[in-house]
Amino acid sequence: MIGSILLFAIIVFGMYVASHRLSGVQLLAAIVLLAAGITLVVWPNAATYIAIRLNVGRGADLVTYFAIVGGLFVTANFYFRFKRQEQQLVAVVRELAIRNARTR
Amino acid sequence: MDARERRKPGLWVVVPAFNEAGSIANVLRGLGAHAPRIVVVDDGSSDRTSEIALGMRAVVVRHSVNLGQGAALQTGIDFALARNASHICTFDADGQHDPESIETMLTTIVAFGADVALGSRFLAGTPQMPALRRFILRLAVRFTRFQTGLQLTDAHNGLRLFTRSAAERLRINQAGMAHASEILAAIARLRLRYVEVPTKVAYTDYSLAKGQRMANSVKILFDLVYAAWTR
Repeated sequence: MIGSILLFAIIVFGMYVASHRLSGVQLLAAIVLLAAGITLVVWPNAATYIAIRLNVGRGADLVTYFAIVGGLFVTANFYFRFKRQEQQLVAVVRELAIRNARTR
Repeated sequence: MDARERRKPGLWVVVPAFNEAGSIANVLRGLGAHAPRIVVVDDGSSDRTSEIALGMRAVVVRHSVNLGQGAALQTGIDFALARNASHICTFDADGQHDPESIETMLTTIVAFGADVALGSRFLAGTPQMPALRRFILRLAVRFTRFQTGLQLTDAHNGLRLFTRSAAERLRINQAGMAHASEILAAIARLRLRYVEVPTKVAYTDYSLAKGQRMANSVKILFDLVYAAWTR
């Protein structure tokens, strides 16, 4: 039951992502992520199998580690994007301010 | 051109101001005799800073949203450069600086053939200020010496004077308060000739309330680490 719900959720998420324009790297990352998600739902033991090979022991731990690293990447990505947009905002506001300089 | 303009051809004073309605009139009045051309950069104030500055016959350039003091300074510098400034002075809007210092800085920069004159609170003995503030400022000086190699006595003084060519080469990218360190780092990187000029700083209740929260030094440090990392 939970498997089919998860599978459905992942597929809906994939369709949602695909409906937006993605760069090559983003598309690749999305495909890898979706494939990994589907694999884990269909073969839950896959994570444990890989985990044992990597000396982690439990599949759930392995998934957690990857989720943390992925989360860090996403956070950093958003942070740099935010900084870049801040610079763009500064440029726009500055240009407007100088154009509209006032004196009495 | 009146007499005081002839005496200081091409000097523009940049006053970044964010919600300084309480002090901007006094600051501009004090500047009047020493600075023929003043541009107040209103950094998106929600009070009457702009109106008051306009009433005092300053040029007002207004950010439509608050961007931070570093961004305001760069806007003022861009504006002054566009108006063919030969020298650009940055001057805080909270009333802590002495307008007479501008005269001293201008004379010094010309006499020494320097690119930048920096105001220093500590060059002429330690002024009256709260002990914690003095401690943090001393730390900032150490940090600056370590970071830039500049042998300064004061790291974060808002009173500076640049020649046109120095101002053209300088770009302040730190929108927030880390710009003070950024300017010094740029002076070191661009190998600008700098000179420190002793200046009086008046710590009034108003300027202390408006001044930097000490906790903010942590944020400044973070901004600088970030900038060093992404450069």
